[in-house]
Amino acid sequence: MTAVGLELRRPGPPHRQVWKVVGVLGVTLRTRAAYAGQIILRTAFLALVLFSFSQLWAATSLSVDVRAVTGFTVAQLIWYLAFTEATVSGIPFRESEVDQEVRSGDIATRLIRPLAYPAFHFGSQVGDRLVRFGLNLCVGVPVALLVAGPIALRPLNVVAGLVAAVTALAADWVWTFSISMLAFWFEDTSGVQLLYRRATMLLGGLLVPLEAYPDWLGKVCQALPFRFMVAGPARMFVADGVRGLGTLLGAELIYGAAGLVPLLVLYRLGLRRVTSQGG
Amino acid sequence: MTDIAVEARGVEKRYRRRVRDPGLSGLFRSLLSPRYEEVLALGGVDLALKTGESLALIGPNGAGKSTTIKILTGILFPTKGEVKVLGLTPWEQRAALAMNVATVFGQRSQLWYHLPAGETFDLLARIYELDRAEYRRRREELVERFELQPLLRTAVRKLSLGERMRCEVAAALLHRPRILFLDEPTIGLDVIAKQQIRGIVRELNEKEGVTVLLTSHDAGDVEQLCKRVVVINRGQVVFDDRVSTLRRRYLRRKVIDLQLRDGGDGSPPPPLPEIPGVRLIKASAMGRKLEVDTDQRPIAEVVSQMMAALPVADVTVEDPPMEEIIAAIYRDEAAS
Repeated sequence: MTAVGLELRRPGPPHRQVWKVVGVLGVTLRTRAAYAGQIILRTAFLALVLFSFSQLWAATSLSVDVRAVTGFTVAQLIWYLAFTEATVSGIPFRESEVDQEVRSGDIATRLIRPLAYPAFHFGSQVGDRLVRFGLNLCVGVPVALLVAGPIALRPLNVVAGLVAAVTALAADWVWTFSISMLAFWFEDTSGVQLLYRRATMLLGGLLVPLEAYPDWLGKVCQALPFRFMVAGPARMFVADGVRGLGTLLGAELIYGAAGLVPLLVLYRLGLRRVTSQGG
Repeated sequence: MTDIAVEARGVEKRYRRRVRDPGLSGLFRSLLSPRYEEVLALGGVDLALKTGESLALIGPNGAGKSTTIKILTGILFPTKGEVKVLGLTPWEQRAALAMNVATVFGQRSQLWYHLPAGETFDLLARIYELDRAEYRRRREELVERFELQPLLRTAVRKLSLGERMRCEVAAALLHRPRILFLDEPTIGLDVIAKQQIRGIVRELNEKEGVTVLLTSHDAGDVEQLCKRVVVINRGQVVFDDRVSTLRRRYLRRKVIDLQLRDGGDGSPPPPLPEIPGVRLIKASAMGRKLEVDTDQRPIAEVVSQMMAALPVADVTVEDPPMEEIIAAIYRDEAAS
C-alpha cells in the first residue's frame, strides 16, 4: 500500500471538537427558535394538566394534610408539577431520527464529517431539548402563577433548578441515545424508547413528589436514577435551592457518564453493521 | 512516496438481510424463526486511482457502486480486503480522512433543511476547522463560481433541486478536499443544471488537481467529466479502461425517441427518411424509436434531419441501457 506525499489536514485537539458541538447546538437553537410559536401551541396541554392538578390537590387538601404527606404545600406542588412537566416535555421523540437515518441510509451524510455521529446528535438533540424546556417554562410559570399563586422563589432556587434540569436533560440524552443505537440491530427502537420514557416519568416523580408514593414504591424509586432527572431539579426549584445541588449534579453526571459506556460500545459495534440501504 | 490517492485490494462486502414470506403467516414465522439471506455487495474489487485522476464508476442498480464509495469514505466496513485513501484506512481513520475528502450524494442532502445555505457554510467551516480568513476567501470564490449569491439567505427547503445541488457541491468544497467522491451528482437535474455541475467539477479537476471519483447512470457525466471508467457488475469490476475506449467499443449506439404530431387533418406522419447508420427499432401511431450508429452518423446530424423531415413534438436521446453495455463487455471477454 502506498501513501500520498502532501501533508494531510488532521482533526484538532478535543476542545475544537467541543467547539463544533457548540456550533451544532447553536444552529439547532436558532432553527428551533424559529418554530417557537408551534412549540408553545403544543404546550397548551401543560396548562390543562396544571389546572386539573390544582383542582385535584385543592380537593385532596380538604381531607388530607398534603404537606405532611408530600412535604410541599398545594401551591408548591403545582409549581413542582409545572417544572417537572417542563423538563419531561422538553424531551421530544427525536431519538427516532437515528432509526430513520439507519433505515434509510441517511446516516452516510453524517458519517462523512469530521465530527463523531453521537457528538453531532448531542449538539442537535440537546439543543432541541433546551429550546423546548425554555418554552415550556415560559408557558408553565405564568400558568402556575395563575392557578396556584406565587410561592417564595429565591434567585438561587431558580438558578439551582435550571442548572440541575439542564444537566438532567443532557444526562438523559446519553441513555436515550444509547437506546437509539439499538437501531443498528432492530428496525424500530421506539418501543424501548417509550418504556424508558414512561419509567422516567412514573418512577422519577413527574406528577407528585416521591414522598407521596407508597413506602415500598418510594424506596424503589429512591434507588433508581430517574429521580435525578425529574424530581431532583424540581425540588431544587421549588424548595431546596442550592442545598443538595452538588450531590444532585454529581449523581446526574455519574448517571450520564455511566450511559456513555453502552452508548460507545453499541455505536462502535453498530457501525460495523451499517449496510448500504438506499444506494 | 507515490501519487496514488486511492488504492483498494480484494475488497469484499457481504451482509445478511432478513427475509420473510408474504402474508400474516409469513410475519409470524419470521418472528418465531427469522430467516436471513446473505448479500454479496462487493466481491473482491481492486481499484487504484492516481492523484488528480478522474474516474467514473458505472454499472446497473445494485452493482456495488455506492457501496464502493461508502467503503472508500469510511461509512461502511468491508468484510475483507485492504483500502488506503490518501494513505489512511477509511473506516479506522474516518475523521482524519473526512478533513481531506468530500462526498456529494445526489439523492441525499447534506445541508440543513431549515437553514439558509450560508449558515450551513458557516457551520461547516467550524466542523472542518477552517481558519476564518481562509474560509472567507474560499467562500467568496465558491459563491462567485457557483453563482450562489442570491441563494445564500434562502432556506434550503425552498431551493430548487438544481440550486440545492449547486449549494451541496459548494459546501463539499469549502475545505479544499483532495478527493471528491460524487455519487449520482446530476440525478434528477435538468440539462442546464447538469452542465453547470459538470463544468465546475471538470474545472476543479483540471485547475485544482482535485481527484474525482464519480458514480453515475448518466453517460454524459462519464464522458464529460472522466478520462477513465470502471464498469462494475454484481460487485465485480468487469471493465477498467479509458472512457474513449468504452465509447468506441460500447457507446457507439444511441437511441432517439421521437414523439410526432399529426398533420392536423388526421393523416399519419410521413415516413422516416433513409439515413445510413439509422435503424427503426420500434414504431407506434405517433412515436418512433431509432437506433443510431454514431460512428456512421453523428447524433446531432440525425436529430436535425429528423426534425426537418418529420413533425416532431418531442425528442429524447438515450444511451444504450447499462445492462446492454455489460452484456456486450461479457460477450467481448468470452470471445477473447
